[in-house]
Amino acid sequence: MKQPKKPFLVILAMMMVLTFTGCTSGNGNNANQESKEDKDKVVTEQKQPSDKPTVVRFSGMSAETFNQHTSESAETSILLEYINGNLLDLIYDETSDNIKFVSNHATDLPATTDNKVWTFKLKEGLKWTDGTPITARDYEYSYQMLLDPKLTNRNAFVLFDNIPIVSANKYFKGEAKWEEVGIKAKDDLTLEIALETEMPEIDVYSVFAQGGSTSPIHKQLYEAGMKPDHSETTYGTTLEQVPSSGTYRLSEWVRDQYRVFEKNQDTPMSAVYTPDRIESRVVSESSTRMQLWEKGEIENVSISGEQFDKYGEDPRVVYTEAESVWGFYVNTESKKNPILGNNDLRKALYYGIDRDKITKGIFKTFKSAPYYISTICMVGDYSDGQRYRETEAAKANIPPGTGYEPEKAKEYFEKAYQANGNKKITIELTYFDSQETMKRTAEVAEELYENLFGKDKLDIKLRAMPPSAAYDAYRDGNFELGIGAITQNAFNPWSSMKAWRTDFPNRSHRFSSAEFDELQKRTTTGDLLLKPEERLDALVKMEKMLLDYVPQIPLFQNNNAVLFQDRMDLKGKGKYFPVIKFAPLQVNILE
Amino acid sequence: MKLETDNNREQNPFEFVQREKQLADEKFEGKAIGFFKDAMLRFRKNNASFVAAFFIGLIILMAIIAPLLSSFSYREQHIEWALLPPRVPGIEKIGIWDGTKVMDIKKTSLDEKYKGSIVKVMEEYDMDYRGRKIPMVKAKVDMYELKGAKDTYFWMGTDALGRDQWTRLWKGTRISLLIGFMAVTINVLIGVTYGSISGYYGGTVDMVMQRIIEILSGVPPLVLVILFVMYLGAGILPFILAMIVTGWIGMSRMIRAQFYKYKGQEYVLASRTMGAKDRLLIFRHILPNAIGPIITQATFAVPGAIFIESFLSYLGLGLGAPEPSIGVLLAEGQKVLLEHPHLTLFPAIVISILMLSFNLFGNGLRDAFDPTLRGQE
Amino acid sequence: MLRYISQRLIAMAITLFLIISLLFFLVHSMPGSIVNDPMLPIDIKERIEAKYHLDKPLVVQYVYFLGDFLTFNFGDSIKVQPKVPVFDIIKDKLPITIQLNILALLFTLPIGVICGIMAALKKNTATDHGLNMMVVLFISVPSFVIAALLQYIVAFKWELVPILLSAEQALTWTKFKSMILPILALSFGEIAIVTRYLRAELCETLNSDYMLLARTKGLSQMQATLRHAIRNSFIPLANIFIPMIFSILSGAIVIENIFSVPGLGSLSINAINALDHPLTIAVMFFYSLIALISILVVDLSYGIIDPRIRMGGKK
Repeated sequence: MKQPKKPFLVILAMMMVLTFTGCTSGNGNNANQESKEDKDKVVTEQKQPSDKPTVVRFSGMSAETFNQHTSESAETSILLEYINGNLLDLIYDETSDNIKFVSNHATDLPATTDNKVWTFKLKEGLKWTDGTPITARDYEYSYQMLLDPKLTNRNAFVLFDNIPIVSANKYFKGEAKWEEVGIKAKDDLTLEIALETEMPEIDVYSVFAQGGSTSPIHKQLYEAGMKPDHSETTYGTTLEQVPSSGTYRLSEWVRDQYRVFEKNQDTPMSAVYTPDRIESRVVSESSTRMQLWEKGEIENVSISGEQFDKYGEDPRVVYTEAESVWGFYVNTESKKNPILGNNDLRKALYYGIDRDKITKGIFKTFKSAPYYISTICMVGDYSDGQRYRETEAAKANIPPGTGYEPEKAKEYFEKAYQANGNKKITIELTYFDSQETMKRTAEVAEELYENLFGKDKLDIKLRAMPPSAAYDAYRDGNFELGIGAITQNAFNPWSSMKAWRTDFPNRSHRFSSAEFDELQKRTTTGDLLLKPEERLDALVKMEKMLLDYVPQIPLFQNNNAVLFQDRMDLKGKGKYFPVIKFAPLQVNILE
Repeated sequence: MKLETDNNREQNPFEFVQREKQLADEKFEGKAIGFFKDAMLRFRKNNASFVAAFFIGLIILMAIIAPLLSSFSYREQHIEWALLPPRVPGIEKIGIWDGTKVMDIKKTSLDEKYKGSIVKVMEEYDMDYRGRKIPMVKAKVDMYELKGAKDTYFWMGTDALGRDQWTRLWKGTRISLLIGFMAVTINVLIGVTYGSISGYYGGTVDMVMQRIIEILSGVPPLVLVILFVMYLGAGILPFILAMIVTGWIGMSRMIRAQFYKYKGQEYVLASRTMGAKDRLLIFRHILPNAIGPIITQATFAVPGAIFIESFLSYLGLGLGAPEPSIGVLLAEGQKVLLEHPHLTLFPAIVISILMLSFNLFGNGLRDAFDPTLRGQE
Repeated sequence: MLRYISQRLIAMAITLFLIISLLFFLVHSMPGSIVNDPMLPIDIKERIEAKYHLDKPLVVQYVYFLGDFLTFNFGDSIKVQPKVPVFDIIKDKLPITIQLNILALLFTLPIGVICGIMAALKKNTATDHGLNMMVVLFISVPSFVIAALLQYIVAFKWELVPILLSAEQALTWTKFKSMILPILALSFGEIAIVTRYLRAELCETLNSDYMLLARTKGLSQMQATLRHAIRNSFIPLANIFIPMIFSILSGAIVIENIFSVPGLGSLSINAINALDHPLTIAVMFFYSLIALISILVVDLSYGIIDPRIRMGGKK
């Protein structure tokens, strides 16, 4: 009976052993040899002079489309900058160690006499990579398509929200003819933009700088991809439908995995951007990215608070500066929980949170922010680099340090507690479920508040929600406290203040002040627009109003730590600038 | 019949031996052994399963009492003590779990930031950074000393918020087990009933019921969880509900297959010919055949449910903070697997032991309940 | 038989329609808007929602949807890959998904079956327990931990294989090498499931009378098992086969994330999270179609594996 069983088992065992040893030994040896060979190759490559093509490798997320009119994600906007030229460009300037607007397709920065009509002169002989010429008429066509009422492109807003071009919004809504819109190609090389109100040059420059939604589109391809009813175009959705008017062209694209950009020689900006080839991998897992970085397969990686213990000492660490301030919105008009309308309670929450526990304790690199306007925001001329937060008036606005004053907070809280009829105050705090940082912030805030004010007097309940649903709930007033942030325009903090206006359509807060609204209008479209000093005063005043009312309890700026490879010798030396960030394409590649 | 025998008595050359005595079976010497008792007997003989049952019991016990053993509560934060490695009194003497960590640090900060907390300098080296040489050391650092938690012991270390991982793990085990047991119990009840009806009656009933299943299984669980979380708020209930909506389908399919296998068999036909009612056939004759697979599948489903929970946590659809669960802990740990393996290690060990125990336990139960094995061994 | 099949096919079409309708209402009841940047001007949001009829009542949207659906027009993705027809997106992702899954199945089934047979034959011995332990250890840790560990140890520490999936399209040796880890990570759980079920089923079959008969008539244990027992044990195995394909498809989400595989798994999650309803519905339609076909095939195969079973037969 046992006889027949054995051979079967023996064979099985042998097979398994064979397969396993086969796998490990065979594979192992091959791989080892190969990796050795690779290393040898690297060594020999290093010795060669650097006239061979230089490659930079980045990791990122998926690109949903290369149609700059409908693109949405931050990742796509980076990739679009590679392949698209524009009238102007924003680069790091070594001589002034600052950012600088330069002309790209235009011959010079635009000319204006009244800050309303701006004229761009185009260079001659501009071409798509396939040889089709680019003229001012292509620009006009591009903007017409961007604003097309049937296509309803997401990014159309830049032409009527960032700068108010005459009749642009009306055309977008189908209420005006194209002839009425203030975008005209006077001839093949002249493009004229007419605005409804005066605008400072920085706003006009930034709309037309860097490849993106205001870059030209390739007319033939755009038309060819059009559906019969002209409501959609497949432009930018396949490799063949992605042309290049910029410094790089898309040469390989595997959706959600891999894309390669090759440099176009002889474009206006090809001397500024140094790498000859950009390879970009989609890597969504942060630990995978870390491993790739350690192996030298990607140029940079951002490190989280937990990893900071390990990499904090590394000399290669550089820091970003966030363009937003995160905090808890307060629903001061809550029907379910009317005590939130009590200003003392909000002040108690403002002074009662030890922001450093969150920013330095958990995230290590974040910046405690007892204010509403991010440190990156600039006032005055961008070339001076004057930061709003560094002005004396702005400093006087906020309490010293991180705004944590427990005694003051307790006093305020006692007042609020009495106003609540000496009953326990219960507050529900909404956080974003898919983001670890938001979850931790909520957990720490719960603990800090309850410990400071007493668990018998205050109860914070946490509620998880997906971000988009949470913002909807804030807008509709279905929340009590909710985490969130407003992205700010580094060059124009005044315009970002529109989010605090009563008539802001997606407002997450319940702050409403006629005085504030008036002031904000005056600084962005009214009489204060071109008066730098009064404009700054107004900004300080607006922030003061917010700080008095506390429509949101400001917490932190999520400044991250980033590690760059040794071979990336950034021209900006790791200094962080708005919009261009570390300028990773302006780099000497050390081999 | 009786009449006939009476008539033939005279001709019969044979005689009954026990004409005067009453004829009866002999009484059983021992006690009668019932189905479950028999199963119990055989289950005890299976050592592996017995050990597994012990471990399950132990983990359940730990989930109940372990949080009480620690002086920290599951949500108490000590942010300055975040991410401490485990340290256990006694074991620390032999060099593992002694709260130390090997780190690369700049030599210059050796005397400043790390003063007093260096246990051993293991290696000195220079790091080349753009022509500059930066002296670095690889050193074993006492993290407890470094972070000012000198005389405290966190048996499993602390998480990113400085919460006691020991308490959180057992609290999490409790929640995960609760989710698992609740979901499985409900799923078994629904699945068995549904599968029996569908499999036994067959025909149009089966056709309609199977189509309903197909429609339900077309709904992605992710959408369900998002919707339940939206309307009920994050917590245990939306999880269990989302698992129930489609979770019973596997069980019902298996039961249905069992019914198809047995309902045409001779003994069922025989019973039906004798006039047995549907209910009797289902519950007495066919379903007991499936008791093994039901129990096996149910025991496997408990850790399975914990798995689904951890998968959803990985996708960011975890329980509402600050409640922990094994899945939440694993998902948090996986993100820092390279830097802080202890955050993954302990939850992974618990879930492994749970899986292994439930698996062996299920196998043991299955053998014990298997009617064909009755009386063997 | 033919009548039964045609009945099933008609039922299948109706089921699909109902699934899609149910799904339509479910996904559309999810909160949030496809235009989710709060800083965007309201004009843009309103116009975009109007373009996709998202501003209309749900019933009206459903009528639009039905009109398209009945002409097999599933539309274009609106958010994940805007303007790309949904089936082109799925078609794009199929090759790599199929490559991975087939390789994983090729790896899973033989090992699972062999382990299952061995465990059943050697029930309650050291072999059985050893196999059991091994199998359970494979599945006892969630795939995101196993996959991350595999990646860290095999790819990062030992440098045996690349960390990420190779970007090549064709199935070359380098690509295969980069696929080893995802395949392993995908297979572990499935091997365990197959082993477990086969062991459970075989144990029961091995004790049945016909096995006794087979042994008495002189067949060896091996022969009896391979020729008689396994056939019967494959019935429940067929049953777990469908969920298995599915769990591979959906379990792949984690593995796709970790190894950066541009596969189908993460597509459904992305579509759901981005509220890209046409894409969500198309992906789910595709999954359901595969599921329904495989259920039908399994149901039909009952009759082939065990002729005593009559599908659709009454009590």
